Amino acid sequence: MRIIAAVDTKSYSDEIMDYVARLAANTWSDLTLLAIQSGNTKIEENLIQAIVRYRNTVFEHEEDAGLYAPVSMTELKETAKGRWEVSSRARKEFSVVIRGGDARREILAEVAERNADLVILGCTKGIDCIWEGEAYLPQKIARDAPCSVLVIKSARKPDQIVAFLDQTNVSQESLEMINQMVTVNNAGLKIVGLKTPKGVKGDVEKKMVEILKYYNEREIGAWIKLVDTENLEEYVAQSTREGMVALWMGKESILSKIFARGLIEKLISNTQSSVLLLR
Amino acid sequence: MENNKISILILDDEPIVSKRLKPSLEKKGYLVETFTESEAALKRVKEKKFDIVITDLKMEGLSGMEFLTEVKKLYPDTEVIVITGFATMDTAKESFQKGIFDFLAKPFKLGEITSVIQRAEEKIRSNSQS
Repeated sequence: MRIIAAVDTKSYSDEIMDYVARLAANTWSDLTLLAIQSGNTKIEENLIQAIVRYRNTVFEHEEDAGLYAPVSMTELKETAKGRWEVSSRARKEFSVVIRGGDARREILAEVAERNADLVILGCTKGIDCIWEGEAYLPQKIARDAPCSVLVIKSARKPDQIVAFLDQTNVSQESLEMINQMVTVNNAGLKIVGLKTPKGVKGDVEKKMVEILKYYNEREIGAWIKLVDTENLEEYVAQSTREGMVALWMGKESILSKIFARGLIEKLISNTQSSVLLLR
Repeated sequence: MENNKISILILDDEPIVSKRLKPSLEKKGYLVETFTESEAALKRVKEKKFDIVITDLKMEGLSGMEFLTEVKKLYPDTEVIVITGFATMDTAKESFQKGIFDFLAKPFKLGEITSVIQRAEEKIRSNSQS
């Protein structure tokens, strides 16, 4: 698995690093710390200091397993205008990349370049989810990235993963991502189907049962629940108190039609914990 | 190696994994056999030595860990790659203690596992020359 943790110098980036480091260490993932700054002519000193802290957290979690080899910030090389990188490989690759410029564009460019499986980023706890001075940036990354995205608003370890399903476009990769999240967090799994006044779409109900069977066969304690679409916002708010909210994204998602401002934006804005968008 | 081609056995109880990997690896010139049941895979490795074995860990019956232990006992120089949807630091460490080549958590891209297989192949070819 290839993980990119997008970070800046703010406290929410510090707060996600324990989670990032634990996930990367347990999944033996290639890990990139992608640090974003506004300028693209030279590396900002306070960013370097932050990266050193983040790097140290990563190495604290690898339990001398020889997972990553150390990297030094003095070895950062400019590989393109406004992009610096240093990488090392032990059993897995560990990279620090600094990109200067528009945060959304730079994060998405790195995700594409690395063919990442998961992007993780934190943000402020309010509705606007400010990241590096830009409101709604995590929402934009979650909406536009080609892979799964985990937005962490609270570093609390989730006891439960509440996964919403309203369409049948469920990739094997997304099922596997849930497996890893359940395993790493030692969490329970609740699969929530959405019910309109006309009932549940037959193919969605069938898919829910298939997914339940998939997890039960793998000894994951999963259960399913149906929620009325009109109670959805309230249910999401309640779920975020229980743990991580996950959403299977698909073109047929009716959720996006329910929320005026867009599903992803709403979910991330309203959640108090973490949101995982599955692709 | 048969006719200088690297042989690979893939064991995963989810058929979709082999279905995705097999054609791509065959296209690259590897000889690939796939299994969804560990007992059948074990029977096969007792009949034939594979250069590379790719195995899932969590399976009904004989677990992937037991399977790879048997493989390494029979053929210490077979390179084993573990793929798992339930990775933990402990299972990774245990797998490496048993001498595996690499450990990949699912999901992974085709390019990621292909690159691991290529590194295993380089090691096998370099060992066979020395």
